[in-house]
Amino acid sequence: MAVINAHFGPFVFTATTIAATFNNARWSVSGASRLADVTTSATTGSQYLGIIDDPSWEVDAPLETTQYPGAGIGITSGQSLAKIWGAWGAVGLGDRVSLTTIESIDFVNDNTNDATRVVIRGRGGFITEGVSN
Amino acid sequence: MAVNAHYGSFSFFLTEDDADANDETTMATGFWQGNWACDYTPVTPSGSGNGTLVLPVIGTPTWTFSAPFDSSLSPTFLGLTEGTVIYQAFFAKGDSGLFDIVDRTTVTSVGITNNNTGDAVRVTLTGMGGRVSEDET
Repeated sequence: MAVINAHFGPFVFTATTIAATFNNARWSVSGASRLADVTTSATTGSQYLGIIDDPSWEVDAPLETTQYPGAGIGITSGQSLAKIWGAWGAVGLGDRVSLTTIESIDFVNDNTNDATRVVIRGRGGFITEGVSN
Repeated sequence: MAVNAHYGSFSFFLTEDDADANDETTMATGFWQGNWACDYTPVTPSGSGNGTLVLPVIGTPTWTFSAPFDSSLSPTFLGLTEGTVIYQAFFAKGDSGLFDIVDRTTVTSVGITNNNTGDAVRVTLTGMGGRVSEDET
C-alpha cells in the first residue's frame, strides 16, 4: 500500500475522439446521486431512495495561452463530452466520467496573488473508478 | 402545542365485515389533507338587518392522500379503485392520538406519478362524501 502523490495527475477532456489534456492544479470528481424523499408515517426518521447517479466534477488549472477553452481546445459550457478523466498522480489510473456535460467555464484573475486561472465544472454521466483513460 | 405530522397515517376498514373483524389496513402517508366542507342554503329573511344568513344543510367532505408507491400496498391490491366506497377511513393527526374519521366515503380517483429522473413512483388517492367525525381517539 502506498499513498499516491497527486502532483503529476493530468485531466483529460474527450469531446468525441479529440482529447485535450490539462496540467491542472487540482481536480475533483464527486460521485453523487439523486435521492427521492420517501419519508412517510411508517419510517423511523427520514428515508431516501437512490434514483440515479448524478456525478459532478471540477478542474482548476492555470490558464495556458495555447489552451484557451473556447478558441484553443474548443470546449464550451453546455457541451456534451464522451468522457473526462482525472488521473491519480502518475500511476496511470484515475476516475473517468462518461457521457457528461460541461456546466460552466470560469476565469479567475487575482492581480495580486495568483496566475490567471480557469475553472471548468461539469455534471452528469456515470463514474468508472480506477481506470485508465 | 404544535403536532408533529410525521406519524399521521391513513388507515381504513374497507367493509363493515372488516370493521367487525377489526381488520384494518394502514397506508403510510407522505401527505394527507381533509377538507371537511359543508353545503349551505341561503335563508336570509326579508327585512334582515344583519346581512345574509345561511343554514348548513349537509357535509360535503373531500380528502387527498399521497405517498411513495409501495408495491405491496398497491391501491388496486387493497381494493381501492375509483368509485370504491370505504366503510370507515381514519386520518391520523400526526402523533397527537387524534383522528378524523370519515364514514362511507367514496374514492374518486387513483393517480400514479412516474417521474423517471428525480423521484420515486408516487400514488395519490382522492375521495369525497361521507360523514366526518373530528378529533376522535
